[in-house]
Amino acid sequence: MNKFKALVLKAHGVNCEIESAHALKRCGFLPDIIHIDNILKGNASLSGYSFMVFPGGFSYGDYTGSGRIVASIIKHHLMDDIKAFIEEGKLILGICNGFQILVKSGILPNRNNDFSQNASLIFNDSHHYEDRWVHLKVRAGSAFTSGISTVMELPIAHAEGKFVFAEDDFPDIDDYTVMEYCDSTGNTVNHYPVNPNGSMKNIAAIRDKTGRIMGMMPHPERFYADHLYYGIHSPSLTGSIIFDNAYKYIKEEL
Amino acid sequence: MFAEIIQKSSAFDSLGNVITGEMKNHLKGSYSVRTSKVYHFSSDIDIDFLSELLCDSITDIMSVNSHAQPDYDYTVSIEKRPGVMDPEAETIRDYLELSLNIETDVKILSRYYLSGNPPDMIKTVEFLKNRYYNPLIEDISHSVHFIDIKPKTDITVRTVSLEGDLNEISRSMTLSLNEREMSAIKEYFDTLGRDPTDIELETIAQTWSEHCVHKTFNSDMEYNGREISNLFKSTIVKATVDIDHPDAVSIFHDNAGIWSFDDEYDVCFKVETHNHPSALEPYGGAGTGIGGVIRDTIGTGLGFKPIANTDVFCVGSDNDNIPPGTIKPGDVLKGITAGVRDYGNRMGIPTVNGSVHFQRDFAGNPLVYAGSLGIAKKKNAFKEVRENDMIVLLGGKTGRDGIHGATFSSVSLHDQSQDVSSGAVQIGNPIEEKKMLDAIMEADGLYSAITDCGAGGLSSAVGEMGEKTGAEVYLENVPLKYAGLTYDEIWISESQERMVLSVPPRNFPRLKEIMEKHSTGISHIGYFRNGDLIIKYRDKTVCELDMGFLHSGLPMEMKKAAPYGNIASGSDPDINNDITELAEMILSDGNTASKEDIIRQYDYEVMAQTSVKPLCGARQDSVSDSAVISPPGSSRVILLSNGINPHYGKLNPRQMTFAAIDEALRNLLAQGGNINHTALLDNYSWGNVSNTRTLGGLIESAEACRDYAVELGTPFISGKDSLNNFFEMGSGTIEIPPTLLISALSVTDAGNIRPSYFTGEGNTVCLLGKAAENELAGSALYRALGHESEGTVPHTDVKESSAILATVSRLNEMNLILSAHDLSDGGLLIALMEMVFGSDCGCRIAVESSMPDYIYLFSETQTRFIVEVRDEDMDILKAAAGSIVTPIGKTVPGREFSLNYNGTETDFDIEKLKTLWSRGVL
Repeated sequence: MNKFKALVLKAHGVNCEIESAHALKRCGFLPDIIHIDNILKGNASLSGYSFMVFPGGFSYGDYTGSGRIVASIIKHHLMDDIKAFIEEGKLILGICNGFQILVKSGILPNRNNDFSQNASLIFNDSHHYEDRWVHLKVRAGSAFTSGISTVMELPIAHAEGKFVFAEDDFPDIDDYTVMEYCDSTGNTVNHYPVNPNGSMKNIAAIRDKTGRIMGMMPHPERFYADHLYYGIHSPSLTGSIIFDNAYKYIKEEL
Repeated sequence: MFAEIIQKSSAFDSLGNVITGEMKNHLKGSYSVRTSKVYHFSSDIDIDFLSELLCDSITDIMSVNSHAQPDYDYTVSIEKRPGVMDPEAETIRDYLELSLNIETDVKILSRYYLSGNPPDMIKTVEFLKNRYYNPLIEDISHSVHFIDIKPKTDITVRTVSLEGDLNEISRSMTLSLNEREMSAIKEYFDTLGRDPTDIELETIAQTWSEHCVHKTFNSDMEYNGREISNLFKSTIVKATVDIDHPDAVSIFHDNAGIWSFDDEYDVCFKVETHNHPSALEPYGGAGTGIGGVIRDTIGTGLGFKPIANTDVFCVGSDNDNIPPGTIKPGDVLKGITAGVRDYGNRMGIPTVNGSVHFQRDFAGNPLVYAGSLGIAKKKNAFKEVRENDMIVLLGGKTGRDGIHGATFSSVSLHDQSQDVSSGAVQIGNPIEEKKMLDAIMEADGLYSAITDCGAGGLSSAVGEMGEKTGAEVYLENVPLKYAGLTYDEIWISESQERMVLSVPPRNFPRLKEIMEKHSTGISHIGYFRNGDLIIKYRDKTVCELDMGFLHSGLPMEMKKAAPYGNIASGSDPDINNDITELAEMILSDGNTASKEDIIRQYDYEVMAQTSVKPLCGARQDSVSDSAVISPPGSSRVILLSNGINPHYGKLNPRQMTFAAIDEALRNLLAQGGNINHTALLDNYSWGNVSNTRTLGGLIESAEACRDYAVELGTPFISGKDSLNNFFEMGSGTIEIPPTLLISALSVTDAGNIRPSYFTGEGNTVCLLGKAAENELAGSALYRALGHESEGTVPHTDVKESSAILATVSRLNEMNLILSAHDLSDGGLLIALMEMVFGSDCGCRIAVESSMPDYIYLFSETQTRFIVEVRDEDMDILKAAAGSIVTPIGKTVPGREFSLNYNGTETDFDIEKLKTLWSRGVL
């Protein structure tokens, strides 16, 4: 098996699979876009891959709540495969709708090691969709975020990105936080539009205990190169760093 | 059974909080609104399964067969009317069937709980109406009804006698055919010696509708003492034929015009109107508008991949004074924005370019334009239906949606339209269309032709595809949403998310496999053969029509038209206001103001190809002149822009047309486009064309299109016309102003693209283009002051302007210009302000002119740009562009913007002006 094979999971309504595969390819991965139904039917499996990406989109139209239907499918049909995938030390990244799926299926953050849901992503305070670029304060601690010491810019585009959790049940949320919405100088001020959706503690991305599973609302694949920046002077750090880090991790650790 | 989902606390109920805020703005008081959703099922479902599917364990509570009831004074429940598509209910139903093997009907209610001394219930319902529910498709719910599954209806073939009053027959069957057309049909059936069936009449009416054949535009006309033979062919088509552009691949034959992109790929571009449905049900009308034009792209050639959407809206300007029976312009705008948002975003196609216009006369008849850009390998540019191919229907099931949409779109709206036209409105299901799109892209090479089911449903799609081969259709093979549809309803239904393919029989099994993988419906409904159109339903022949008569039998008539006349007065008002005050008035007007609050609701970056975004600049809140799409792996890019000005249209359709073309091209060229690789689209929305002056305006505009396009060498590759946009009420009619949307597409090298805002300090700012004249009729300035019909409309000399645009295009290839922005609404001063809004730097401008300051600064003389150039490049620029270059100032550090006009100095407060400009239009 080539250890740089990456699986980009497609489902009805998922719509960022092509650019996600494109971004992965640029960083050295060999991505395959696989429809979840093909895995359920036994025509494909997770086992040949070392990196699984849940891309953005509107799986099943976001109906009944973003990510809920795919989360339900996973819980009933795919959880054992995913647990085995995690146990083998492999990587999982959820972007936007993929983050919503990971959280609602209990894969992330999995605080109590029982794959029950510990947090959620609900409608933005504005109750509508919003596309904008945000500043992010990025922490180390995940396989995807090592070596990012500056404030990073990425686009978000979602209606349901408000990260919430029950504070009493989750006192150690800080240990799981990897990205926070902040202003251009790195201050995590909690007001719109710095915090674009009303997320508790400005949380934009979290990881599991191992740091090998991460979910993020911003879209690194939409900023895979300079020409996709909104202004004249693109920052040197693009979204590709997330995939580059994954590549480095797999190269060194797997 | 039913399950109600409500949030554990109001902190999680963003919808409730938003409604509480909005309601308090309108109906004062101290109270709060909480929302819930109630899911009704016609069968029992496992409660644990439901809870997992519907209820978020962190934020929600579910109660089964009892209401959640937080403390409240009263509740209002809203449900969809029977038969109205609800994509969420459909998704849940399909998922339950798939995973639990349970067949159940699903009905979803939105519930609003009001507490803490709220206004009385009637006021609340009145507030919610047209904001949170539309009475055309939704009801205040008292008890839940599932659709009756009616027994199979008896299938006797119904014939219609054409003896008697033909107008009355046309009216009673909603055929929208005139007496001359009805007589031609009678004559045809008299020759056959039989009465037509109902479905035959419906098929002819769909095929001959204004929407499908554009019979007004294709008519001969008598105008101002001369005869015009086929207006469309002698203007728009003639320009394109005469230009004979090497980049044109396929024009006027297909669902969209096809244009060469590079050696490997072609692009296609199409813009549609969805005006009448959007007037009645803004959300559904605009959503199905974008859904429909996306299907046009998928149905172009052998399937183009949609890669960008555009949208342009025209709505009324006065929320306090609306025609009876209409929806407030502000609510129309919110609804159509949400419709484009929810459909376009779910399709995963970026909405990248558009505009919004406010004018009083759109109050009863708003305009919604939706566009789609597609890309495909060159081998997929052409289709051809082959004899004996299977007719294959893909996508969603067929219901009673939108019966008579094609004929409805050609008649005027009136004050009871919202009560009686529910059948003509459809609600889309974007996920159904997304699945179909993914499946079709995978089925490349398996079919010989493809088209979409739009207005007229199967009738139009199969009728058009089978024009040369004939078609034999078995209607009982069409999958239905519910039983009880009659054969003619199946045939003309406008249920969304369906495509028709012509498939060689050997490819059908493989095609079926791909469709099933994507859970997209596929059915074999007939064959392309026999020469005639033959429709069968359960072994009975219900329609047998000669394709020749169907497609060529429409009797055309000579239409009479009169000159539109010039409305502008020619004399100017006295204006003594201070320049800053005038600028503030213009910037805060919706037509000029930033549309950021609309644009941000669209996903304009999905696909990761939008290299110039609709919001850009130093603080990602500046406007760009064009959107730029950069397909990965190519060094070439596609620019999209638009030009439209209903305010000029009302005064002078010919000059309006020049201005719309000029604006679209200025936008392309300002961003770095190349005029030699540029194509145009014309989309007409016109008033009552039985009014001879209104029709005369259409002639003047179409001839102006021809004149400017030929001079420029930029052809029209696609277009559409929506006529009879007027609103009838007891006290008279309101016609929309003559409105032409020009959309433009240009292909160039990525390296030529530059921003629309200043790039840095220390550079020279120049005006480039025509000399300013006193042309302020219809301008942003005169509109702000209530003088819009006074003065002179901007005039374009097509020779002079074409030469200027060609020069700018040449400069674009020399990489001389650092940034550029065109002068449009509000003229020079507003254009400079917009450039500063997007920049990190400011500018100092000095002008000497014999004109009064406000004329020079706000005149809307066409074909002008502001450009920023390095000092050291000024000599090269002057040598290349000659007398059309006028240096007017310098870029400077900081947020300074000062103007010296004939020695009088004005300092503008940029932050204050920007705040006015960006207050929002929703």
